[in-house]
Amino acid sequence: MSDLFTKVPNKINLWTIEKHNKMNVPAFIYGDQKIIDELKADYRREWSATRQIINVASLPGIQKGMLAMSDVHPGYGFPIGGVAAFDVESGVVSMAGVGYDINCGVRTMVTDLTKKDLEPQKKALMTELFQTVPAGLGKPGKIKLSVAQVDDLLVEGAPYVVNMGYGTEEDLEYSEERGRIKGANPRNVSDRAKRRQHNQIGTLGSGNHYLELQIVDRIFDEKVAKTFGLFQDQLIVTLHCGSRGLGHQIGTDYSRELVRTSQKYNLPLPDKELGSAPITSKEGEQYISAVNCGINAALANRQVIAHLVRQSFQKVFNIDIRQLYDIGHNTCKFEVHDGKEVLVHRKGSTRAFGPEHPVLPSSYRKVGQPVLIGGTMGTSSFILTGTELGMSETFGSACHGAGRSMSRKAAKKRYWGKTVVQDLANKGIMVRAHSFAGVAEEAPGAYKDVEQVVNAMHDAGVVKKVVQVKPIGVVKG
Amino acid sequence: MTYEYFEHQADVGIRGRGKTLAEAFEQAALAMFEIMVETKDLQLTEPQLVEIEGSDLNDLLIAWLSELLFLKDVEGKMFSRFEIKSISENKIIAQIYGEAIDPSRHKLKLEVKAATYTQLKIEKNNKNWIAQCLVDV
Repeated sequence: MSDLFTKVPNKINLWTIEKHNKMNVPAFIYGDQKIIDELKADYRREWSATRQIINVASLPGIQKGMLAMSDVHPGYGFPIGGVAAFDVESGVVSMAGVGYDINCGVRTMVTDLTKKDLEPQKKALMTELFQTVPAGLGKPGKIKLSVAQVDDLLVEGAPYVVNMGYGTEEDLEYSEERGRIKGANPRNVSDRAKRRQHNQIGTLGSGNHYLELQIVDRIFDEKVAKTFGLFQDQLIVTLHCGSRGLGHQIGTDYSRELVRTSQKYNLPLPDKELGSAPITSKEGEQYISAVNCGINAALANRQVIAHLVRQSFQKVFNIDIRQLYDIGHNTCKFEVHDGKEVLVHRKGSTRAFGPEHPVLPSSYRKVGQPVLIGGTMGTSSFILTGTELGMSETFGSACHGAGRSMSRKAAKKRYWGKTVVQDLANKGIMVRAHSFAGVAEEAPGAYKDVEQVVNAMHDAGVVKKVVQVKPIGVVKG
Repeated sequence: MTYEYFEHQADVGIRGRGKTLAEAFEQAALAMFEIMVETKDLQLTEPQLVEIEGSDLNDLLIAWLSELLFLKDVEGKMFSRFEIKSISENKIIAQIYGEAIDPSRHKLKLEVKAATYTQLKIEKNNKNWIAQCLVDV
């Protein structure tokens, strides 16, 4: 299989799998030699990322190429770190291209404090955050919504909770879709999904979701950093979570539904998990509308948590904090690229729009969208910016994180939660977690090297590094 | 009758084994809840009856596990005992036993978001049934 991947001439870190068998388009994979070698080594496994890349390239109406970012790893039918855009007439929407945690994403907020300012109050702030932000399995949120209220929330997104007093208009300006995507009809979301939401708004969840205090450790681009309001040794806060039970139930409902729809429309599916519907079909429209509801729920969820974080800072430091940006990384959205409307699936991939894109807040428009890349507890995260090359090559998309390199089972066998916490404490990273088993599974060693993943995309020119941040405190579910 | 986990890079595979199809489904459910909680700590209360329908056996396994995840969220409960009274290609009737989540007594672990079609398999080997799939955590 060594010749399956060919290096694209005159390009850095870009590889292709030529169109063969049932593929409708070639595949393009971003990665350095090591990332590609790992994909090659894994190819023969039945559920490898490479097989999933080839399968998605075989779906009807896919445009230009199936794209895999440098953090690509196997997902459910569709690889995580995958980007696929479909023609709105002949194409399909696939549930696997969005997944079960619709619009799982990242929000970063910035303070005027430095690492030095934080130190004396760090423990107090961590305790306050741990008590204020509901995290972990079964932990209810502070807001209880009836099914009718959930309907309104699904249509209105983050503005719904801002109107309830959770956050400001400015927060909305600095969120993807300004906190609310259009085309969300709650009639396409089951009652069961809405019932799962009633006390979960404003909760972090468990697994790889987190709330992190971070310090700006290294600046790569002074000019863009300044535009984003970032400076050396600055304290910033990042949270990572999604649409919770509501999104999981939408995913569950439609995964079953779209398997049947695929049969109804005779879609040539290489894998059952890729359950799809023609974009123009009734079922396709319903699913896209339900995804939009999930997108709005996640935006509202992160909005509430951001507000709780802000309250904690007010209590401990008596200061206000400003939102840098909020991005999702499990979505499908109608977007215009090269003058043509397409439906872009991003599964474990971040939207990364370049300079001058009209949807960006005016203060960022000259430099491009902040692209927030989550690392692991012990390593680092990055803030990047979108580029023109990314707009033309990847439908304005980038990697989303480090990507796991080790299964949870293997991680739990190899790491012990309390030891992980102690090791991190020795490095100056304070961890507050509801579950030690969860910490072991999220041990830094269980992930790929985030620097390698980010450098692969940066060197390819799809995104540009702005700053690297190091964690200093972590709240986990 | 037992369960086990199988490896996956990002998520967890669950596999229930039993002498009957019902046992394999029961064990798959137990495997899923053991990811979330130390099931031995649960003090079981009155059973509740669940009826699940599916279009075929594969769909039925996803429907069964999904229903249990739904009940976990809306009732705030964890379950650890599953008695399938009847199972066909399209329908399960079962009694399930669990307890309301109490973080002071229960060791809560990792939340399962969904049961997926990935690596979904239901088959009979020799005299034993297995029912497996990947769950999203």
